[in-house]
Amino acid sequence: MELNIQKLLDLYFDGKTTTHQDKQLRTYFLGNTIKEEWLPYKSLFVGFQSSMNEKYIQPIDLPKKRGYSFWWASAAIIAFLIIGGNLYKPTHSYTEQEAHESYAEFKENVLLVSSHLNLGADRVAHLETFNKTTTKYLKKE
Amino acid sequence: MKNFPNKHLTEIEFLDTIDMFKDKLFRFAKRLLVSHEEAQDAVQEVVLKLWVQKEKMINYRNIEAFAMTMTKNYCLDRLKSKQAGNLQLIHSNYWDQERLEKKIEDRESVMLLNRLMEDLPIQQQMIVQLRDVEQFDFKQIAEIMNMSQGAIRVALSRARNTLKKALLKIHEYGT
Repeated sequence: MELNIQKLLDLYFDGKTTTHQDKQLRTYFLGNTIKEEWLPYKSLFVGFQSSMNEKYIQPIDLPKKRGYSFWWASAAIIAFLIIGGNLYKPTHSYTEQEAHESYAEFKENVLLVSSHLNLGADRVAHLETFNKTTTKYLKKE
Repeated sequence: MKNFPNKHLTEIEFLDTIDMFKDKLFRFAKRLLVSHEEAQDAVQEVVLKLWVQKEKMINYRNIEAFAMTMTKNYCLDRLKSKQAGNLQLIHSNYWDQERLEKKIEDRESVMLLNRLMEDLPIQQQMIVQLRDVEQFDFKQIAEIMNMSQGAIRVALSRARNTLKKALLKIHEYGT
């Protein structure tokens, strides 16, 4: 056994041991009876083994996906505007004056819709920051 | 190592995979960065990067080795920017931290070994950590370190002999 260990130690310090041989050495040095001349190496193998006791215990945070409903709502409004616009057939012809007027009205409406949409989106952003900050502080604790 | 049968890797599957090697990532990062907090940040960062490109993960046969490589690169970058900012590694923090860890049975051996390993060149520290602590095979270490297996063995032998000399000296003269 001891002759074998000397051989393994020589191989070990030459960087030539296999994983299996490393395990044999570890088992020997973790045992109770170690030959006097090899005692200095005990810290090496015990230290390597004990290093494994250190674990990563923090929970892992993955970024949360933004809810689908937000994107669906935006898409639905846009789709409605496009389809609605295409389906709409004028029942009588307009004068140029009337056409300009209705265009201005339409533009105003669309702007109104978009500003409301942005307002909504802004709030979602606030909510996200709020979420992030709260989890940060909750985690810290 | 686990391979993923399909592209739709769920959050739970992903976290299960990470669970298999997150301790190794942490110990590897801590070996390099010394600070407990910074090592935790490193793991979190690497996991996030893996999560973002999880679709690509099926292309990597060995995700564990890939994650170790990412950890290595992250830590080396951190060390580089620390040097640039003239920030010194505070070794004493490490000792206090270690003293508090009651779970470690053979604290003295771990502390001694940590101290001796800090004096090794960074590349040798990484190789000893991968081989002697985490017991990766040489093929995986070669992949993580982007070195040939022969070069790994040479560096490993040098590192082990340095540790051996230091231990013999301590044993002979004390401390």
